[in-house]
Amino acid sequence: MKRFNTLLAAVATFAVTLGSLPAVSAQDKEDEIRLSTAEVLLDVIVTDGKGNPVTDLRADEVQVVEAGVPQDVTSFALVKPGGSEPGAPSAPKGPASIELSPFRGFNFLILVVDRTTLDQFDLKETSSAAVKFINEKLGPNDLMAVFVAGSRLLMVQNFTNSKSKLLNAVSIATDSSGNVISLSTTDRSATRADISFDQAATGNVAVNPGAGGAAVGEAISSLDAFGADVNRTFDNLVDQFSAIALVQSLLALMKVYSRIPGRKAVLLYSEGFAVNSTVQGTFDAVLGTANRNNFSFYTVDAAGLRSVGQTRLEAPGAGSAPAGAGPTLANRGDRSVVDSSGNSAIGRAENSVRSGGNAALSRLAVETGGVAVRNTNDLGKGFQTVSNDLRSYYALAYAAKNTATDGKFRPVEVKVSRKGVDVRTRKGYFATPGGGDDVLLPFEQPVLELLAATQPGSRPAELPVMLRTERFRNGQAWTVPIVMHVPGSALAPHEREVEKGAKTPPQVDFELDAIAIVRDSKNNIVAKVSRSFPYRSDKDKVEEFRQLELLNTFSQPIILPPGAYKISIALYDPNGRKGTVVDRSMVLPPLVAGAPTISSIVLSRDVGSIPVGERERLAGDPFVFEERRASCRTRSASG
Amino acid sequence: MKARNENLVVYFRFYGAPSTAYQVKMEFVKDGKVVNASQPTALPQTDATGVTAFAPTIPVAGLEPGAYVVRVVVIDPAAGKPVADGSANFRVERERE
Repeated sequence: MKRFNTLLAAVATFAVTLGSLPAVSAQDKEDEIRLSTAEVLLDVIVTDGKGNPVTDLRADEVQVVEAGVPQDVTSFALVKPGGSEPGAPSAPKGPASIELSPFRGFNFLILVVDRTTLDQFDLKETSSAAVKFINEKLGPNDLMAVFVAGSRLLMVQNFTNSKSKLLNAVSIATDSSGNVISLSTTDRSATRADISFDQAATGNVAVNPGAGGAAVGEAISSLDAFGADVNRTFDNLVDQFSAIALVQSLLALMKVYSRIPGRKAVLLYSEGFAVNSTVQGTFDAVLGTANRNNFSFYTVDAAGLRSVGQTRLEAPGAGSAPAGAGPTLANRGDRSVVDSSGNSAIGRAENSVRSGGNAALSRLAVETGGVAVRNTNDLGKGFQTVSNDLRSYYALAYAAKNTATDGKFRPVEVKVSRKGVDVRTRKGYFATPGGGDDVLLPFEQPVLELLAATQPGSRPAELPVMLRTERFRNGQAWTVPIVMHVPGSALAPHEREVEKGAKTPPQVDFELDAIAIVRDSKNNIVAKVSRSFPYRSDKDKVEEFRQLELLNTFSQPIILPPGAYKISIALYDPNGRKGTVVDRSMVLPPLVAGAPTISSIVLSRDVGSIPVGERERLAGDPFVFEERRASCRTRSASG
Repeated sequence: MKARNENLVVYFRFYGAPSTAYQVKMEFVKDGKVVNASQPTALPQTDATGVTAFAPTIPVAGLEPGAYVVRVVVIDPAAGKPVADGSANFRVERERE
């Protein structure tokens, strides 16, 4: 459900301008900012004509082309989680981010059960497939996590190689008794990562991580932290922009687990979703994020070939489709055919929607180097394929020649000179600034383009903006909220289409999209935050909206150690296609343990009470005190 | 020419010793001169982690138009001396008819 700030109250022009700052045209002159060269990591699966992995490919047999431009490969190595076989010659080194990672040596598999689309029968089939995989295929180096996507994202089991824990998690995630799954349903200990070393626990031979035993502790500790981050990230994304919950769930998972280098598989059991114009941007964001962070989707259309009477049918050619084969849709006309006794119209309508959903699942797999499983009753094929792919792949890195982080798509092609082999990899990626966040959200691309196209000293200033950075102590670091103040009159309206017979009055939308990028004294990007601010007004109240002073902050915290920083903040009105970029310098003073410290002094017109339902969400917000919030959405002008 | 009859909330957080009662003093500075100052008043006692927040409301009706600095000084009453301070700028404009 899209969130809008309905702003109806008329507001007078302010007499008091708080903490007035120079206009955007009067920016400080700063050194030109050069973005650091981004290393692009690719995971490549190479198979022979029979589908067997090719494991002796040499770097000189491989060429990478990005947007038609050949690239220089900086590292290329076969990755075989679990370590090399005894006596094997030493393998060439892969990308440093993988070689030095405590996660090296493990396969990462995320099972996502989409409970918004799966029915009782689908859940049972999904359960059977998962149980079979865990019992028969799960190896000691396979770390699997189980999530349920519903109205929100729920971790049922953090990464583990414990078969008993995973079987329990699958049982909960695919429960078809109609019980509501909640955190209370799941075992709290399941949210902790667990890598077992003994055969009794894993049902397998001892773990042999490539990174060594000491690193396993670090891996577990990191996975615990990531697990704790998943819900918060999901909530942040819901705050940042509007989309359907499943897509936000997938983005949240990728945002958190992008910190694990190398190939990661997401096995999605779903009946899919239709990609209409509303979802398109977000869906593209999922694809781009997956490719930028080495996630491959293995999508399983859990409906298989079910008829309305839930009689399973087999079709010629049913099975898994390699990604390279393209998103060929299965013929799902079976529903309408079977459903011919008075329900054919409904069946056809449903089939139409489902076809769109199926296409989405296929695209997810094809464009991320994974596999789409559809048109089959054997839902275990998803697990089987992902298992094979994770056991042997090539990790390839190159320094992209085009270093502009403009959010644009860069198509990538990997060519192999050896004859008779099939190559499967990603179709490309979106060029994002990084800063620990390689997720490109749907509203971000034009804002990043605005940032990348200009340099300090020649920034656009088409929107009147006042900005203020505050600072609050956060242990031995500072939390730095950025407050953005834009008059409603600066934003262009977008009139909403009125549905026939609608009883609601005509409405007008406004939107402001913002990105802040923080660089340290060495010009490294250390933080990136973004948010889309949609507003809606009744058409006859637009003039009142124009008089409003819009005060906004990012929902994600920027937490920085003491030091000197440069912040670039871009604000963009997609309806008016106008933007402003502001560059600021900021010094965060040193912090001494135990020494008295004061935050920045925040000036506000008033403080607002926080509704009871909002208090949990705002816990930790530094502007909140005694169930009130300073500088919250008020009529205040803060600059 | 007069200032509008509006209030200003001065919000800050202070990080000190746990469960301690500090004091705060506020000064309004215009053109380098202190034009208004409060007497030291008690801050809400810091919590077990040493944090407290304060948000007094200041009427600006009595302030002439112009640029101001509000300066906040936190005082340790036991030692009788300032332990932290901060400031922010604001402007009082002429009221529009």
